[in-house]
Amino acid sequence: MSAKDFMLVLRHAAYLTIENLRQPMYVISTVIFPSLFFWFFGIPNAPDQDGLAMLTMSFSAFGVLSVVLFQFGIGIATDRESTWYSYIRVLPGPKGLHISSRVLSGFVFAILSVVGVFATAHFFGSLEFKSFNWSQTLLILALGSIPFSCFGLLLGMVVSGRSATPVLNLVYLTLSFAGGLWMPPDILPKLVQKISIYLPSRLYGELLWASVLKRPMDSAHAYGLIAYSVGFFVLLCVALAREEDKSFR
Amino acid sequence: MNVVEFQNVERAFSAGSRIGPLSFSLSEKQVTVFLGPNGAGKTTTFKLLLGLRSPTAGTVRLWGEKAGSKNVRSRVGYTSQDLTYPAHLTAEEILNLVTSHFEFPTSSAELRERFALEKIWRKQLGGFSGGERRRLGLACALIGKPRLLVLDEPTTGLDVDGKKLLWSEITKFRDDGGTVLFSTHDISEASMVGDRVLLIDGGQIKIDGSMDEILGPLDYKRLRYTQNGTVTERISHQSDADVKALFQSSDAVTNLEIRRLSLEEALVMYRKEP
Repeated sequence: MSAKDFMLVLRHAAYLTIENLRQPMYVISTVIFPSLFFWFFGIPNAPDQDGLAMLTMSFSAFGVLSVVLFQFGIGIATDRESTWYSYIRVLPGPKGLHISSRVLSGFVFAILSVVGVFATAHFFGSLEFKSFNWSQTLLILALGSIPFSCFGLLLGMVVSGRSATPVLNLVYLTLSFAGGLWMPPDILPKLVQKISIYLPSRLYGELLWASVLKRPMDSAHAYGLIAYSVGFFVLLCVALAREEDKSFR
Repeated sequence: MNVVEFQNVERAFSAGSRIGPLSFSLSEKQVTVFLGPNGAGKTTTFKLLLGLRSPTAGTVRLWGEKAGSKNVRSRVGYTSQDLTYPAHLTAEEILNLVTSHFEFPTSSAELRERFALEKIWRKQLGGFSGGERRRLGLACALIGKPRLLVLDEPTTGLDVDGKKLLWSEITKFRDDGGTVLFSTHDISEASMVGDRVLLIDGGQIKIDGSMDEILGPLDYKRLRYTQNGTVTERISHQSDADVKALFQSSDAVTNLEIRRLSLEEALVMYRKEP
């Protein structure tokens, strides 16, 4: 991608960000809601600083999930039915311009969401970040979002604009709850605990918790997330090819 | 060199529908009207031309290059049938965003004036009327100083002034050497500025000719009149001759009404012709 093309992606991402910032419901659900939820239900249940650190990462992951699933899932599903999306593809520019700009703009909101959770942990839970391995934790937060980004894009390609919101909400809440992002996995219902260990949200959480609790990381969790990324990416490619075949008007 | 060249283009869909084979070319300084009823395949043909869909057989080339290539896209201006812009951006932001795609764009200030966009310049697009969206769409199509203008049913939602503006822009664009392809399902609209008409029906081009050549076969009119106290209604293909014959007959004819059939109605009659 040339520098000019990259500038074009940045410009589209900037306008997408402006557009989303002008929608209070979007900002509330992606940026404010995870912090509020953490403040009301996470902080009061943290037994100590380690527990609070663990919950901070759980709700950060919850925030990242909300952005990538909503921004990509609902965004793409709505875009597919919009002629603006077709129009952009007709303009001179790089391939995948619209999706790239959505990903970049999503990155901005994911950062805002995580910053909100961290600020809430600090100001309302008195969490000290002295022992945090920032580079490792942020790297896991960023890279661990890849399978969910692919999953969000995939859902955006297969569901209609109208059904995107309920479907994405269902997926988002199920992954968050069953993945142990709202409460420690060992207090989840027994059946959910059995399923939980296979969910990408749980694998994401395990890596983040290990990072802040200074526990050794289990490579199986990382491989699991990589496998999910590859799987969702392959399905995404199939969905993109099918989309080409669909419409006749 | 032809601006657009469709050679035996076919597009099949998994649901069983298909269009083609389509073969036609467009040359410079020409306004071609793509006339056809709803669902005839006009929008799909446009998508093939713009590179938004790939043909399952045949080739689509613009200025000798593959449809949808970056070089081609920089020379094409397009407005789609149902314009949906990001609802929370303003007209100014949309035009600035589109401008950034082109090396030597027309200034947005000039387009604001030319397409009377002052009122909506700083307004978010969710509150735009259909006509305002159309005018903005036309401004977007012309912003990159294109050589080919592809307009998919551009008059939908336009008021009389908006239509006048559109026709004058199309004529000016053609006179400056540009090529225009626009679709419509309205015969009278086609006759306003079209130099040539491609009639598409059931995914295939049925007639390719001048306005006269196409208006002849589709010139069906509904005649309704009272004769000897009886109301008669019939469809006529040679309405002038039929009307003349009516008045030449001995019986007095009153309450004569003549109405041109819509494209859909005319096509039904046309398909019945031997």
